[in-house]
Amino acid sequence: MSRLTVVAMCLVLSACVTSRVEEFMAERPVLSDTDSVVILTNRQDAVVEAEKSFSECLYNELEGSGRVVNIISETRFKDEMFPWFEPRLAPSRPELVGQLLENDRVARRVDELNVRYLVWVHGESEALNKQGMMTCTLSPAGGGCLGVLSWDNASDYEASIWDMQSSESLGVISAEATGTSVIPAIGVPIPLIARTKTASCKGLADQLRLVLSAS
Amino acid sequence: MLIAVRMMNLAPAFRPAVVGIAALFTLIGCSGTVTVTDQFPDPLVEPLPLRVGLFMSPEFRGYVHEDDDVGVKFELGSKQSALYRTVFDSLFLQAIEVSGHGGDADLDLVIEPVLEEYAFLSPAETATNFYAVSLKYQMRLYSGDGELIGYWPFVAYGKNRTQMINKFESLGDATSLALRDAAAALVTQFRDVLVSRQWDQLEGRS
Repeated sequence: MSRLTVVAMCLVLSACVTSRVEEFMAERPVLSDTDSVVILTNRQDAVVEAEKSFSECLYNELEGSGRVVNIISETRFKDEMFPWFEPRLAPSRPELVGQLLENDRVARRVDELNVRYLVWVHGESEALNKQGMMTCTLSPAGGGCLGVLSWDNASDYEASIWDMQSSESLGVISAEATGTSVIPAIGVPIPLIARTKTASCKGLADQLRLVLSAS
Repeated sequence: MLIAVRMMNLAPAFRPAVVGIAALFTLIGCSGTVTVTDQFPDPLVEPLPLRVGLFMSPEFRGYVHEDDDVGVKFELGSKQSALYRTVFDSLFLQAIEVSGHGGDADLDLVIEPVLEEYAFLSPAETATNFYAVSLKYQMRLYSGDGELIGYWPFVAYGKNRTQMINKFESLGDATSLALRDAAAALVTQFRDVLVSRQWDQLEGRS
């Protein structure tokens, strides 16, 4: 077996992932070609917060799709609105958006950016039930590992869509994914990773793409 | 067994990579580089009609945080100075940097930010996946002729998820977020204190 084959095997092999996407929308967004949507991470929870990599994955999936209206990145939006979307001041409920827009400068900037909807992302990925054992040795003469490690991956995210015009929540889309990762090693460890975060990101992005397409 | 033998046969080919990975992990373990931003956007705020002097002491401008237990040493003074300059430029009709806190009767106020404490908690200490940073400031307010007329204390917070590869990057990002949180407190709460002129009721009145 060539080294290339082993590397290719590691890249191709991945563990099975089960995912589920659910939509609870009271109302569908109505978007024109000029409207913009912002993807934001909810940072007001002390313990649970979506990873930066998840927000970036969601932004890239939506931005690259070509079927959704303008997407503004979190970094750009927070800089443009500074400091009104920092965790201390960001509206924690849709009703508070109206209160924020009473500030003329904030309202003017929102108009300039044509922001119509905010998508608040909340959730995280976890590795649970870690089991198994692996022993690795390394010496100038070579090295290797023996054993097996396994753990469960669980990702649970939701995206709340807020209308900036009406200061109302239109609904929530949630994406869950679970899977078991295994790393068997007889000499060389072969990671079979359950990519639940990626599955949740793609599931959530697919549903958001349907919901946020310009009408 | 056959697989085991074949895999073990591959070991020499992987040797440089394995040694490289081990060296990388060793370097990461010793790395103490904390990068904090000094780039802050102009805040969206209605300027107060005040002519204000911003006094930042040499200690404030040159503050370096050093923690031998954790193995970090980084420069925070220039970053917080950049933040205060940016915020004051937007918060007041005119803000000029001054070298002391008195002696210019043309100024309505001289304001001196003082960093009382920089502290952080590691994920192990918070039992979460986050680094949590706090910046404890005291805003000292002086009249144009140098009399201390009050102070306003506040604490800014930042938290950031720990990174598997470089944990100090996470600490730097949490510190940057705490500085942004300080800006949020200044353009809202501190502004309200100045508008209502409540500083002379504060405990620090001389």
